[in-house]
Amino acid sequence: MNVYVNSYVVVFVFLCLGILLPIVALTAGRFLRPHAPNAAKQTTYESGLDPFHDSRVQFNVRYYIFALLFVIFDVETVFLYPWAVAFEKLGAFALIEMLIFVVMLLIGLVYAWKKKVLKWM
Amino acid sequence: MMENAWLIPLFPFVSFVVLLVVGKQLKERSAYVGMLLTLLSLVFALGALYERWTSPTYKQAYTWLTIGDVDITVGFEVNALNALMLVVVSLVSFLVHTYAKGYMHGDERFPVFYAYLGLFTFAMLGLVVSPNLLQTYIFWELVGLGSFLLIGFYFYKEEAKAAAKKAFIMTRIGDVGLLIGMILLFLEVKSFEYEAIFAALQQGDVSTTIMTLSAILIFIGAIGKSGQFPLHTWLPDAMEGPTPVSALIHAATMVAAGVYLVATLFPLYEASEVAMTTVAYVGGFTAIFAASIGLVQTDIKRVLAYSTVSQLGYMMLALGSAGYVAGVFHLMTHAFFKALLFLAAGSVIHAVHTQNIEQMGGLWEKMKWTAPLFLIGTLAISGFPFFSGFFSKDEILIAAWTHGHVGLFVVAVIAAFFTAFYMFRLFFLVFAGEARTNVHNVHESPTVMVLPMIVLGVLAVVSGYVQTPWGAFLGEWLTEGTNWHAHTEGPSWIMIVATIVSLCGIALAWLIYGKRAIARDWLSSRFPLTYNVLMNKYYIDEFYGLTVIRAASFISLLFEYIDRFLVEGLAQLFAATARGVGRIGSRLQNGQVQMYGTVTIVALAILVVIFAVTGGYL
Amino acid sequence: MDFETLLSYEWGVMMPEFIILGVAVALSLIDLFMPENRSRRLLGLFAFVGVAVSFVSLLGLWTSDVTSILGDTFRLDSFAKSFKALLLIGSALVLLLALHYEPKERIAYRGEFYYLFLTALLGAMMMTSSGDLITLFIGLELLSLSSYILVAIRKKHTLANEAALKYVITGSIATAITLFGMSYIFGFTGSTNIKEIAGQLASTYDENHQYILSLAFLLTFVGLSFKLAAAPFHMWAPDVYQGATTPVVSFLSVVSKTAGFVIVLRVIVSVFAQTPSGSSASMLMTLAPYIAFLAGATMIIGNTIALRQRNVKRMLAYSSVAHAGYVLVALASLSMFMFEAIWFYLLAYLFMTIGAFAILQVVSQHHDDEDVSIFAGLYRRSPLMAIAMTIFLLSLAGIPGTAGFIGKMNIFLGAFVVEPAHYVLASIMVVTTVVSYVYYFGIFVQMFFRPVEHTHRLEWPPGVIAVVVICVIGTVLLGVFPNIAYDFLAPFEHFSDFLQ
Repeated sequence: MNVYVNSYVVVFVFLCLGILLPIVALTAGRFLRPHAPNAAKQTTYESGLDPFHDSRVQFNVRYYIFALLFVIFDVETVFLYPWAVAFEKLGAFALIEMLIFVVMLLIGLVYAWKKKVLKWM
Repeated sequence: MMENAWLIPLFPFVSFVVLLVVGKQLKERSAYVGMLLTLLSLVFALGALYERWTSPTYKQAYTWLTIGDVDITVGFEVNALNALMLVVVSLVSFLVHTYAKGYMHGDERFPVFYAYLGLFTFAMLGLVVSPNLLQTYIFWELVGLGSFLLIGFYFYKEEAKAAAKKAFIMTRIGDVGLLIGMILLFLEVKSFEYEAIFAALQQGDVSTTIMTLSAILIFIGAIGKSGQFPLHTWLPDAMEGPTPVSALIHAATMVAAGVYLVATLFPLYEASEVAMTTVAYVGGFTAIFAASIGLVQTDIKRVLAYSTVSQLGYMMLALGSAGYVAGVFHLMTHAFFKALLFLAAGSVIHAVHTQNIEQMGGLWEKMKWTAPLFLIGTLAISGFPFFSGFFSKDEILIAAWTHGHVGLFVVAVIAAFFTAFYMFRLFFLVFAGEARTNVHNVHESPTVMVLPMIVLGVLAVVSGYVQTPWGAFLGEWLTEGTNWHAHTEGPSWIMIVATIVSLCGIALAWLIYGKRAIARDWLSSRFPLTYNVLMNKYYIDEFYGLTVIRAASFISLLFEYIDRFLVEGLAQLFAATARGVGRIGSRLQNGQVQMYGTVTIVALAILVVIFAVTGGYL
Repeated sequence: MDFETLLSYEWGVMMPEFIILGVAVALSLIDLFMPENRSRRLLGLFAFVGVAVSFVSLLGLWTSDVTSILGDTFRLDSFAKSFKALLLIGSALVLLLALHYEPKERIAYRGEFYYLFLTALLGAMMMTSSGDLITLFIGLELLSLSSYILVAIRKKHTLANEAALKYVITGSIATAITLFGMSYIFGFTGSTNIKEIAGQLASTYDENHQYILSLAFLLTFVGLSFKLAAAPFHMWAPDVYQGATTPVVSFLSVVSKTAGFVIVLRVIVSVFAQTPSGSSASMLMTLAPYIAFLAGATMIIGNTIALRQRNVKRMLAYSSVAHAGYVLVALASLSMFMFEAIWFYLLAYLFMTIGAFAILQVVSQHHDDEDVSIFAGLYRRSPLMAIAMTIFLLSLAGIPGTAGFIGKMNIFLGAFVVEPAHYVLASIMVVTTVVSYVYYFGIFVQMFFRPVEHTHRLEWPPGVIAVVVICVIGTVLLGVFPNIAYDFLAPFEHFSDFLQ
C-alpha cells in the first residue's frame, strides 16, 4: 500500500511543479519588466513586415481534406513499417490482416476519388 | 372436429371484430355476418358433440407462461358436459341472432347490437371450452362485460342504464368470491387445471377446510351469475335489455354459467358435504322464493325472469342433491323452453308494444304462430307430461328425494305447483279472453322471428326424450367414467305427484284467469299483506335499500370526504409533482450541449460521492 | 500465429458478420460506380437481402455449441445468438422503412445511408460476440461513428446538423468516461480479455481494491448509459431524435439501444458478477443499488418530461428513455431470469417501437414538424392504421394482451422474486407507467376524437404496410402467446453458458 501511495506522491509533486512553474515565471516577469507600450510595439509580429490584413485568413477547405487523406495514409505507413520489420515472426496471419487493412483503405481511396476529392476544383 | 373446437368461440369473435370495423357500412346486413358465423359455431359444435359421443375427452393445452416453476396453461377441452353446452349455447345464440334480425329491425345501432351479441357469444363459448379455472375466470369476466353492454344497450333509458350497472355490480360481488376461492385452490394445488385439481382431491392432498371454503366461495360466484338468492335482484331488472338479449342471457348462457361452473367442479362439491348441502339449500330456497314472487308480477318479462331464477334454483338443488345428470339435463331443457318463452314474449311485445300483461289478452286469434309456441313453452316449463320439462323436473325431484332432502323435496314440489300456476296465469292473461285495451293492428311477427321459435318449440318438446325413466342415454353418456348415477331410480309415485301438482296449478290458473270461476282478486283481497309482500318481491330491494344501500351511502359519504380531501389531494399532489419534475427536467433540456455534458458529469460525481460516503471511504 | 491455427478456427461462426461486412463493402463500391441519377432503392433492397441472409445463417448456427475463436476475442454463445437475432430483425424492419422514406427535400447520400447502416449493425453484432474489451470497444465505436453520420445524413437540414453535432460531442464524452473506467479494469488485471479479467478478479480479493474497482464500475456504467439513453446520459436523445430522419430514429431507439444493453451486460455482468465483495456474494450485487437508482431516475425523467412534449418524435424519445429505465430494473434486480426478461422486453420493444415509427413516418411525411396534431383524425383517414397505432401505443403503455405487458410483467416479477425484493423500484415502475398513459393517450385523443386537419391522402407504401403488419402481429402474438418467443430461447438453458 505504501509503495502504491508513494508512487502517486511523485505524480502529485510533478503536478504541483507543473502548475507552479508557469505561474512563477509569468508573475516574476511581470514584476521585473518595465511597462512602456506604444503603437508600434502593439502590432502583430509578422517577421518584421508591417501587418497588411486581418490575422484571420480563410483557407480553402480542400487543404483539410488533403490533410485528412494524408493522415490516413501516414497511419497506414506507421502500421506497415513495424509489420514489415517483423514479417518473419508474425507469419501468415499478419499478412492477411495487413491485406484486409490495405484493401479497406483502398476502398476509402476509391471513395475519395469517386467523390472528386482528389481534384482541385 | 374436437381438435378444432377452439374455433367454436372464435367465430363469434370474428363477427364482433368485423362488425366493429365495417358494421357502419353493412347496416342491417350485419345480421347476416353474425348469423353466418354463429351458424359455423353451431356446425362445429354439433361436429364436436357427434365425435365426443363415441370418442374420449379431448384436451389440448399449451404453456402460456412459466413463472418460476408454475406453468400457466391455456387450451381447450371437449368433454361430455361442455360438448353439450357448446351445442346448447351456439344453437340458442344462432337462433337469437336470427330472431333479432326481425326484432331489432329499424334500430339505428343495429350493427352494434350484433357486434355485442358476437362478443357475448364468444365469451360464453370461451368459458365453456376452458380447461382451467384461470381461463374460465377470464371468460367469466368477459361474459359479465358482454352482458353489461347488452343489458345497457338502450343506454339512453335511465332504467336500462341502472339495470346494466346493477347486473354488473351484483355479479361482481359474486366474482370476488369466485376469485378468492380460485386463488385458495391454486395455493393449495399449485395449478389452475381442472384435471390437476381433481387429481389432488382424489389423492386427498387438499385439506377439508380449504376444500369446503373454496367450494363455497366459488359457489358465491355462481350465485351471482346464476341469480340465486340473495344476489338474484339484478336478473329481473336486466329485463330492460332488448328481448333477444333476455332470451340469450337469461335462458341459455350467462345465468347458466353459474350452474355450469358448479357442474364442472362437481367433484369438488362432491367431496365436501357442507358445500353440497349449501348448494342444495340455496337452490331450493331460491326455487320457491322466486316462484312465489312470480305469482303476482304483471310484466310479462319479469314473470319469465322470476321463473328463470326459480328454475336455476331447481338446477342448483339438483346438483346439491348429487343429481349431476338431473341438473345438467334441466339446464339443457330449460335453455330451450325458456329461450322459446322469451322469444315468444318478445314477439308479443313486438306486436302490442307493451309489457304489461294486464293490457294484453285475446291474442290467441291474432298470433297464429306465437300463441301455440308460447303454449308449448308453458307446458314444458310447467312439467306437463311428455314435454321436456316434465322429464327433467322429474329427475330433480327424484334426486332430491333419494338424497334424503325431504324438506327440499316438498319445497320443490310446491315450487312446481307455483310454476305451473303463474305460467298459465301468464298464458291466459295474454292469449285468452278479450283484448283489454284497444291495441290495433296487432300482427304476427315476421318469418325470421317465427322460425327460431319453431325450432325451439320442437326442441322444447323432444329434448326431454334423451333422458327418460325408460332410457338414460344422456345420463349414461355424461357420467361415463365416473361413479355418478346415470339415472337415479326413484319411487314411481314421485312422477305421479309431479304430474298432479302441475295439473293442479294449470287447473287453478284456468279457473281464475281462463274460466274466471274464482275472482281474480281472491288472493289480494283475502291476504293483502301476502299479496303486497309478493308484489314487492319480498321487499328485497327495499331491504337492500334500507340496510345495505344506507350503510353503503354512509360509507360512501365517508369515502367521498376521504376521496375529496385525501385522495384528490394526493392525486393533485401526484400530478403536480409529475408536472413539476417534468418542468425542471425540460428546463435542464435547454438545447445546449454543454448543459448535457454538465448534467452527466455532475450526476457521475454525485454517484461517486454517494459511493464514497456510503462505502466509508471518505 | 501460424497458418494452421488460422485454419483451425471455425470461421463459420462469424458467418453472419462476414455477410454483413461483405454486403456493406459491395454496396459502397456499387454506389460509387452507379450512375448518379439512378435510384438507390436497389441498394436498399440489396442491404435488406443481406440482413435476411445473415439472419438465416444465424439461425443455422442457433443450436451450435459455444465456440470461441481468435484467442477468445470472438465467442458465439447463447447470449450472442439471441441478441444478434434481435439486432438483425430490428435492422431488417428499419431497412424496409428506409426504402420508402421520401422526405420533401431530396437526400443526396442515399447509398451512404445503406452501407453506413450496415456497418453500424456490424459494430453492434461484433459487440454481442466480443470476449475482449478491445473488440467490444471497436464494435461500440463502429456503431457510434456510423450512427453519427446517419443522423447527419440530411446534410442540408439545420436540425439534423445540430443533432449530429450534439450526438458526436455527447458521444465522445461518453466514450471518454467508458474508456477511463475500462482502463482501471485493465490496470487491475493486466488483461483485456473478459474471461481472464473475471478469473483474476474472482481469485484475488483485496479490500483496498474495492474502491477503485467500484469507481471503474461506475465510470463504465455511466459511460455506457449513453447508448441506452438512460439517465444521466439521456439528454441527447430528444434533440437527436428530432433532428434525425425517422428510419434513423427507429434504428437508434431499437438497434442501437439493444446494442447498448448488450455491451452493458457483457462488461458489467461478466466482469463484476463473480468478483467477490466485502458485504455480499458479488460486487455486482453490492453495486446493484446504483443501477437501481439510475433505473428509477431514468423512468421518472423519461415519463415526466414526455408529458410536456408536443412533438411526437421528442415524446417517443423520452418514452424510449423511460423504456431503457424499465429494462434497467431487470438488470438491477439480478433475478434468475434476468437475461430472458431483458431479451423479451427488447423484442417486444422492437416491434412496438418500429411499428409506431413506421406509422409516424408516413403521417409526418408532408409536415415540417411532428407536432402531435398531425395525428388528428387519423381514424377517419386510415382507420386500420389508426387501430395499428393504437395497438402499438397500448403495448408501449403496457396494457394486458400486448407484448409490452408481458415484458413489463416479467421485469416486475423479477423485481419481486429476488431477496430482498425491490419494492421501491417496482412501485416507481408502476407509478411511472401510469404517468405514461397520459401522453400515450394524448395520441389516441388526436387519432379518434379530433377532426381531420389535413385532408391530403396518406400514401401507405407496401414496405411500410409490411412493417406495420409484422409489428402488429408480433405485438399481439407475443402478448397472447409469449411462449412463442421463449421457445426460441429453449436451447439456451437460461443462458447458462454466459459466464463460462
